[in-house]
Amino acid sequence: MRYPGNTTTWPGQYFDGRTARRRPVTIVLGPSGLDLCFVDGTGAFWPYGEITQTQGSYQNEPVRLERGGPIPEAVVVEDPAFLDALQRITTNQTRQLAGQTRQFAGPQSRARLARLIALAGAASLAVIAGLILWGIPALTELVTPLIPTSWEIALGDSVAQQLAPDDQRCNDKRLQASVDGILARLAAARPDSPYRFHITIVDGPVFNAFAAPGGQIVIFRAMLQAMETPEELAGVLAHEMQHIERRHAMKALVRDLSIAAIVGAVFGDITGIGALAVTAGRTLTTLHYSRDTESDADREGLALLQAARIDPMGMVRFFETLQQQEGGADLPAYLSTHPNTAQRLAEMKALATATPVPSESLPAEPLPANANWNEVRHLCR
Amino acid sequence: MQPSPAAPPDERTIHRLRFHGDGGELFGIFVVNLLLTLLTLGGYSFWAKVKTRQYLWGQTEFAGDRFGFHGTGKELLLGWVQAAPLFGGLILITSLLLPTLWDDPMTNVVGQLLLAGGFVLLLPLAIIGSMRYRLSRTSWRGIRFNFHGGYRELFGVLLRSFLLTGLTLGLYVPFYQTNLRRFMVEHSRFGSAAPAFYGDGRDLLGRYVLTLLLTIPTVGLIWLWYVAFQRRYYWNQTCLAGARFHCTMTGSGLLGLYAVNLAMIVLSLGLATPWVTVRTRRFDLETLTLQGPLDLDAITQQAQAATPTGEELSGLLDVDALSG
Repeated sequence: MRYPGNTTTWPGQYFDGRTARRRPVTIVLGPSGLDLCFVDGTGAFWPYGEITQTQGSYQNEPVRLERGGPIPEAVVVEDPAFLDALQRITTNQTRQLAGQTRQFAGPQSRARLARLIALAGAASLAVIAGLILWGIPALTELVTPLIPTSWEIALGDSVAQQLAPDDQRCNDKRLQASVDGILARLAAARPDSPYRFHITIVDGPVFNAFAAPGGQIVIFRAMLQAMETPEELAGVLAHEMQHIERRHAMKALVRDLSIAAIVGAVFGDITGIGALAVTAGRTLTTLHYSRDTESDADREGLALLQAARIDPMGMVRFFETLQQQEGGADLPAYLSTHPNTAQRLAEMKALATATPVPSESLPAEPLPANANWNEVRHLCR
Repeated sequence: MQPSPAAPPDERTIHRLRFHGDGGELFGIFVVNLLLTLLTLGGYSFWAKVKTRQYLWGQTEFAGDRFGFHGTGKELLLGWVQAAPLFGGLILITSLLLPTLWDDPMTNVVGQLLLAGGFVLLLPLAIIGSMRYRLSRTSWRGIRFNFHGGYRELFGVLLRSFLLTGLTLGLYVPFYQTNLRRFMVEHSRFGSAAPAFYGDGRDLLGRYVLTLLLTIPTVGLIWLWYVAFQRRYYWNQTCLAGARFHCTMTGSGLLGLYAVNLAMIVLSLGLATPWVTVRTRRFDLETLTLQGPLDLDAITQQAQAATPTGEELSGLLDVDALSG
């Protein structure tokens, strides 16, 4: 309700900040401040510079002006036209007082709100796409090298302990010695590696192998038994060693943690660090890599085989075995974590023929395990 | 002529709560918050929280006057900076440092026990801290709310509840919830006014047992009726400044609310969340009134200094002290 004939006089409510009493007040918009007139005849003067607007910039919200602190006095005016009048008077003022723009702001119109939503929504999608495509990969590359190797090793040990508990391990000494021999050949080709590799054989029917961070490689009995030659095992080991060497698990962890941190921050109530812990656990227990990461490990693994003078065709043959299994009814677990066998096989064949090392002048050295491989690979059980 | 400054209180006065919020406007706040939070890699989230609360509080009306939220993004950020090391340090020490120092499977077990113990000790701190923060930053008619619950008392309530719930195979739950409610209500203040709570777990026990028995035949839906019953009971046992709360929430009302909310969220792929928030607030507030001669003039300001650490700690521990 506006007083007729006088557009600078407004009815409102006054709260003194000391009691919950509501006092009716009449407000006059003066040139330099608000004049408050109470029904008992007393009054007050609020200079515009001392006033903060805390409510009234949304639809259906009365204007609330506060003065002083920490517990302020306040006046509340229902009529939205009050804000327009206040804005008109104070913009004249702020032209003189530079730097004090938009001290009082009313609700946005529906059309402006819709434009704002469309604009901010589109920009948000662009930022999300940018983060996923460039931001997070760049951050990952930046942060991962800063993580100390000792942390990585401690983390990998506890992951391996969880994935391959003591009572499920194959403890046959001859088998372990054979497998360790192959590993040693590969490791000797990269003497400057910060990691010491270790293989654990798990007595399980799962057709799988994986690399935990820091040097721990876990391979299951079922996969070991399916390997016709030790060169096939060397191929898988070289691949997994490259995952470790190139810190793929750590990168996946850093990536997932940064995504979780951002998602957590965006959705506020989803707890920051709590969600992070869950994500970290999931990343480390699935050890699932992207297609690029797999190709990377294939390529570098092949180079490692060649450097160790092990026949890379073993790795290729193993992939052929995998591919045959792919058509079968039960998809081996290895395929679910290592997808796209056909393409990877083609890439590897191309690489192996492009740089035929070991060559005729520098022939492959047979692995010592060749002698009794058919017996040894079945020693677990 | 001078009107009398305050009309004499009417015995039958009904004071209503209303929510005026609008889904479209809240959606606008959400989208802008999302953009700024993404651009700052999460840094803006504290200011985003404040913006959302300022809106929700400002659109909430009781007896003709709006609530106000007075928190700031800066203080929430500082609260997080204090709470995160407490929480992160606990996880780091028990899950990473201990197993590294002693390479022994027992260390893992000890670490997990210490972690659980740490959470148990932090939980009351988080509940009290977040109650104190939120209430002290909330005002109505310029008067701040506040909270005076102590750590020791809450820890006692929680510990006793935990033990007795185990000993009674869960039958203690209504008592536990009522005791917790009493702790929350009786230590809350509106200025100088303290609410009183007359609830007793015994009044809920029969209904609780019945609900337990009917859980399977009703595929769990009976719990909506229990929740509504409990909410009605708790509010109806609460008095403030000479007036009594009156809650009319029903199980079928809750069922309707949740069914439509679920449909809205699923069909819109989550985009309807602001509208769901508005509907839910409206439902919660419009089923609640305060009846009787509310003596407001006697209420004076009793502002309380409170740090936001507990608020952020409760965020990290994922407890929402103000639910229910």
